[in-house]
Amino acid sequence: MAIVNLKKGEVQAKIVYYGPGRGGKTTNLEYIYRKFHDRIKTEMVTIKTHGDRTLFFDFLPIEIGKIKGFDVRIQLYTVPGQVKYDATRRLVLRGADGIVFVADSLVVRRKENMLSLKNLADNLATYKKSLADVPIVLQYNKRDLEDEGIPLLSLEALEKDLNSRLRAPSFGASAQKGPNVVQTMKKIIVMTMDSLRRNLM
Amino acid sequence: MKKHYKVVVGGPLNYVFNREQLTAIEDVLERDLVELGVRSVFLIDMAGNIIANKGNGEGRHDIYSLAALAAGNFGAVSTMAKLIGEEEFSLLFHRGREESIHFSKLADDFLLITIFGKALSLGFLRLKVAEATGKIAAILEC
Amino acid sequence: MSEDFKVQVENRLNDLFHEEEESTDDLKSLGDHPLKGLKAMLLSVEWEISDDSMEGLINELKTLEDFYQNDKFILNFLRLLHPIAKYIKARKGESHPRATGLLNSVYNSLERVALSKDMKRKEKEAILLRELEKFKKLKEDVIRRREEKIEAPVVQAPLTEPGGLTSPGQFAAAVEELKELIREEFRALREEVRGWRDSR
Repeated sequence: MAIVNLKKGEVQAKIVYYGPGRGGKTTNLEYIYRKFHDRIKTEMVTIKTHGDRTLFFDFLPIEIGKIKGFDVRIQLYTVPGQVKYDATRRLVLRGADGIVFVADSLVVRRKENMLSLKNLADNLATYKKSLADVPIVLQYNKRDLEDEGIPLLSLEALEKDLNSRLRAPSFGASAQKGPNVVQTMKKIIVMTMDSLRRNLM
Repeated sequence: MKKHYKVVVGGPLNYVFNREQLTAIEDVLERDLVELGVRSVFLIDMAGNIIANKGNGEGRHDIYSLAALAAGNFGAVSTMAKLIGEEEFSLLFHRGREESIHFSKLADDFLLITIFGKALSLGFLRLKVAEATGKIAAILEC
Repeated sequence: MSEDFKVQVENRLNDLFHEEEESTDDLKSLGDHPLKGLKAMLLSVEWEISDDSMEGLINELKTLEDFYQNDKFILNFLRLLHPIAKYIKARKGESHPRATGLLNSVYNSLERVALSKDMKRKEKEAILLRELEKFKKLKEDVIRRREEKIEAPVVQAPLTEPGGLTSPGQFAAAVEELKELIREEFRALREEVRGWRDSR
């Protein structure tokens, strides 16, 4: 849920990066943090296991600056992707104003993508929301592995699997190397702010 | 006093706090808690957003990370309560050597987090926090 | 009175340079000591101030006052704790913020005195006097708060009626008695020192 503070002239919104385990959610945030932390000037919080997998969540606050007179503050979160952390995913999803679904382009992860999207829908339902209610952007990650000869699902296949009914904006990306990481983030922030503006009018 | 309003248009639940509410809330935090010796107190929502915060000026905590973690922590513990058949726990509190942190739920959507040192007893703090959350709930007309 | 002044200086120095012996949170160090119940009550008050927890503490104090009626020092510590406990029970969230801290301070001093094997009487008096000073200061602050309308006035004022010392007069008398005891000790010490010097 977004918070509007009329005294400070500030808007705070929460965006959650969701998706199957090892799909690149944390990598997205790490890329953003690495590239822009001089400008963002905030710290990233990660809660990981020894095996470097997200245990609870990652968190990166970003101050966008003034939009229509309001200071906009976006909090980016990731959820742990492993199946067993479902309760945690549900927790982190609470109050999400926008979602980035990070899908794994690897052929071998096709089923996990679809299960994770279904899981997202189920968890949103516990908050009485559906995928259609929330601003959402799809990211088909790991496109860079194509150059290394690793079998990837085509963008068309991914669209068919995950986006045929949703019709959400989507990007092929590489969270490791950078392409479309920032574009994904910008898109979801614009969509979220727009949705908020409409809801509050 | 202007009402705050919840806007539900088939979508996310949002809160708008006007100037009077926020000033009133900050007053309560300052008078009831900071003046008592509390180092830092913040009112957050369950998504980890900060609504108001007051401190005694000592120490610069990273309150944004604290808020995110506090919401996550409280959420995790509440879920555990339900898993063991409890509606909720009556106390969530972490004692440190120098500073401790106390969590208190306010209505369904908010949390009051207090950070305090050794000079304040937990028992006394809990009484003051209960008073403060009552006053804030009235301001928010929850 | 110069002895009085000496005591005050001593107390002030002890306060300033007092190395806080943090009383352990756990009860194991007390073994089966009669004070264990009191410590347990205080620990639960530390966590929660309610009619139940305060009632439990007050009852334990009453029991111990009977048990220790022949030990003047411990009895006086208990008699300090009693009115503070009653005050907190009556005022709860409106009680002075220092009141609960004083409960712990008085108890820690009581425990030190009670557990010590060969603490000199003089030292015990000094410790008790120190807590008494803190108690008096708190009482003054409470009265001031009432005057400044921070606290509402009450029909009975528990803080001015310590336990078995049923009136301010009796309480003041007890303080005087203690001070007299300390003056005695100094007088005796001076005699001793004079005797020692004379014999050189």
